[in-house]
Amino acid sequence: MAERLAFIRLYVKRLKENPDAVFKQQVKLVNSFLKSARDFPLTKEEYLRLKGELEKN
Amino acid sequence: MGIEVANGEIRISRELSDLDRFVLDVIELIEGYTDYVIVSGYVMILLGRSRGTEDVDFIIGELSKEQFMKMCRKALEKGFEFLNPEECNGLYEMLRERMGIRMARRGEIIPNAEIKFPKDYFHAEALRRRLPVILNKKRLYVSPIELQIAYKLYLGSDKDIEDAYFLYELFKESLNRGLLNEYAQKLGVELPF
Repeated sequence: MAERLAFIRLYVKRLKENPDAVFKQQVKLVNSFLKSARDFPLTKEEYLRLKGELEKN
Repeated sequence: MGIEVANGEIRISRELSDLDRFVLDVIELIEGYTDYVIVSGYVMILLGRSRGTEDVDFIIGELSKEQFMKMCRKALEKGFEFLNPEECNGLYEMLRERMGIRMARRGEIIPNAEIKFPKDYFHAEALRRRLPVILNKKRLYVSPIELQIAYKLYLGSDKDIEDAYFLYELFKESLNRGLLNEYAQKLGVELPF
């Protein structure tokens, strides 16, 4: 965990010093995450079941 | 481009992601009917953390059934749909029973907005003390940073602790330490930083 927190410290430093580069990469990552989610389609029922929410509805 | 904190608000200037566009469309809908605050994962992404999320958590102010029915119909008109099998009536009952309802763009599952009425002190506090974030020229409201840090520590998974530390590092110069201690005490967590 100490290593991961050290990484976050560096990441925040970079975000403060060079926000353009960090945000640009981050937007790319978020968009590709959504694209891969869309490429793996689920039905509403399957999704709610995965979230454990179908039974209680 | 960048991120600044001034005069009680956070200003972010950057290219929008598909997730940001989805969130802004949901906000445009909800704002016509009630107050809202965004909590949890999306807030981290909005503020610059590199991670994914499939759902965006909205706490909304309590609505009458009539108002909710209007909002629900408007959502359908605007090209959203609900993932839950219930009709608008049933969705309102779910909210009243403090369950979340999920709304996505029609034909899509991810991303989706999980919408809830406040269910405890911390939800009500997040809504009451919501923090404005100006993303380019659009205003969004998120849970206060102090509450998010304490709550993430309370949740306690590795990912939550990393999120808490990220927020602390990013905002340590502007945090209200008294408020952070108060939330930590209420949640029974120790602040490691």
